[in-house]
Amino acid sequence: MDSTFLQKCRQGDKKSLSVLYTEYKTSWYMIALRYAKSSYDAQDILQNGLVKIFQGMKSFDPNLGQFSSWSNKIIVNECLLFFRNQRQSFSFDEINEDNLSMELDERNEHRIDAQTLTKMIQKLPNGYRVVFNLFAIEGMTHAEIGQILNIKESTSKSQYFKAKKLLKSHLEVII
Amino acid sequence: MSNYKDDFEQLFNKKLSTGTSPDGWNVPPDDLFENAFLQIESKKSSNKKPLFLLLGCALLFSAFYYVFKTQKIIQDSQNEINALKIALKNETPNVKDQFERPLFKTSKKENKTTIEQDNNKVTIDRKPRNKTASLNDESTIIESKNNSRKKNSHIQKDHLINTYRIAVASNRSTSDNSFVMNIANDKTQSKNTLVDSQNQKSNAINSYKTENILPIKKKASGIFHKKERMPLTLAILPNNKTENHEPQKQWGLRLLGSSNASSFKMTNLPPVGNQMLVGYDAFNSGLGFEIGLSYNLSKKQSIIISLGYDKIENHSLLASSHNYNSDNIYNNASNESQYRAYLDYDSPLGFSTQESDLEMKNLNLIEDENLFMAAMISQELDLVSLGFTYQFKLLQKSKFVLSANVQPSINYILKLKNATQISLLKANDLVMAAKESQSIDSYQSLFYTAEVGLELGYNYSNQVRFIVNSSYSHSINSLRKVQASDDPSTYLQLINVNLGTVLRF
Repeated sequence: MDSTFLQKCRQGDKKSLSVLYTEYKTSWYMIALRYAKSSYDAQDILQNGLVKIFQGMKSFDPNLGQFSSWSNKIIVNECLLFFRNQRQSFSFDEINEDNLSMELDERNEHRIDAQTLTKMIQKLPNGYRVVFNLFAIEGMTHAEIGQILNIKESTSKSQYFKAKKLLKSHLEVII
Repeated sequence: MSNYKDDFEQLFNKKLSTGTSPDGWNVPPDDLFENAFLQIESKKSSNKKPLFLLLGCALLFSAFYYVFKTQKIIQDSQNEINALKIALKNETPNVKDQFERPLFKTSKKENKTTIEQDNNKVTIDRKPRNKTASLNDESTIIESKNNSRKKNSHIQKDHLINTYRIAVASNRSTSDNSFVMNIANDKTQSKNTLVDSQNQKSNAINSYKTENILPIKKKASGIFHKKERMPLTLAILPNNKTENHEPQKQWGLRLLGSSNASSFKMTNLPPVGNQMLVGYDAFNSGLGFEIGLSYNLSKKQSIIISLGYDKIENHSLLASSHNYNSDNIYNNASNESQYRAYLDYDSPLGFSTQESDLEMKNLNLIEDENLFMAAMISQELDLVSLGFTYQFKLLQKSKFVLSANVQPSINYILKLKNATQISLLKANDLVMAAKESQSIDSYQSLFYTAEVGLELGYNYSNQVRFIVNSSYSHSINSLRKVQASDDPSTYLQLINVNLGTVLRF
């Protein structure tokens, strides 16, 4: 992202923002889809996220990181905020971490596409989904997740494993 | 990738990081961008609202503050005036008296403070004082007593004055340096003299002393300063503004129709033979009109330049006697008997010699018989006048305006029509009569008048004012030509009632 383009985006130039949106819309939307239960919720999240991104362009410093990382974080935060605003409850139950292993044949990997995985994630309960996304996709630690979601680290772990278990069961059906 | 147990996250990361799917399932609709952009724009505009609200609040606050401050100034001024009145009533010693007061007569006040003085030593407490208050409070002697802070500083001021006097007096009499030092400060033990202390302001001892001594003179000037800053004018200004709320039009075109009543006033009218002129001082009506241009000099004053036309009449009766002379009888072309009489008479506007042919009504007349002759003299004047009016507004209530006018004017007699109706009577019987018109050339065609009047106006609108005015004018010089001081003089008296309008622009 060159400085002129960034400057135009910061000034709120519609054309430049449109270009920016075209470039990043898929990745942003996929994040929203993973966190949301439906595409409608994802679109709401994305719209709110777009507003935050466009308004926050002035605070974006290219020297501190890539735009994609910065904007993705905003979308993720917007997803978390969406759940808080929707007052959707997270069910953080303690689960047994046994039997979470999953064996997939390399031959069957092609049968699993992004849309399928996304739909699988969407089917997860809210708590599982969020923790799974934060841990598996965003790469956060359980400690960070606990801090963000205001839960214990162990709870985050258990949520993740529970989500993993469910996803595995779904994957086994597919494969 | 045989075991996904360890690479579970990797699977999701790998799969979910793929780009746009050909079927477009992970492509958001474009209206999301439009909606988001519109949302930003609307937020921008809504962000301006608090700014305007803040600005409005600030203006409102400023207005309230201004009103409050103005009211406070007015109230303070009123209090000061009231206090001044009370002080004057009670014969409160003025500021000068305060300064000239004997040194030790303020003991009552001094007892209230921590000043201690003996023969050679005065100790003043070091209570911090409000310099500003001290400077100003000289004038508060005659001000409101409500301000206790001022009162205290006033007491403090008295102490300082006394201290100064003690110091000066003592310095003169004893030249004791320690005296001044003691006055200055207990903490500082310097032995400077009073003179030194005044010259060396940087000295710690003298700094207190100079602070206390030098402002005394300033205080004296501060009195006047205080009076100067009395905010009376500030209090009055807003009222003036409200009075001037109605815009004043500078120019006005005046159109008036007038009805007048005129009469002549004659002096030094000598008897011409047995003639007697009467009735000239009776008022006779006439008509006229006036057109003028007015200009407002100020809110209350205006000048008017006007051109007027008046038609005035005067009827007088000349009583005389005539001796019948049969030689004056002749027959005219119609074979009617005519009596030719020669009549010399003094009319209001001049002497006239008239030859009249009278129609004989009664022929039974004796030669040289004395007949009563009555001549009705009618004089009509067409006058034009150029007037310069000074108008002063006396009062204004609602839409009505009452003004006083003063007007000197130059008048010119355009035309004089002199008509005489002569009758010769024997006892009460008319024997001869005639109507004649005779020119008179012994009058002044140009004369000056002075006029005073009242005008009542009704402001129908900002542009239109209906007026009715009444004026009395008197000629300054005679309408008759006067060659000697004892010559008969005729002055015009004119009462005008004008009705018209002023079109302001």
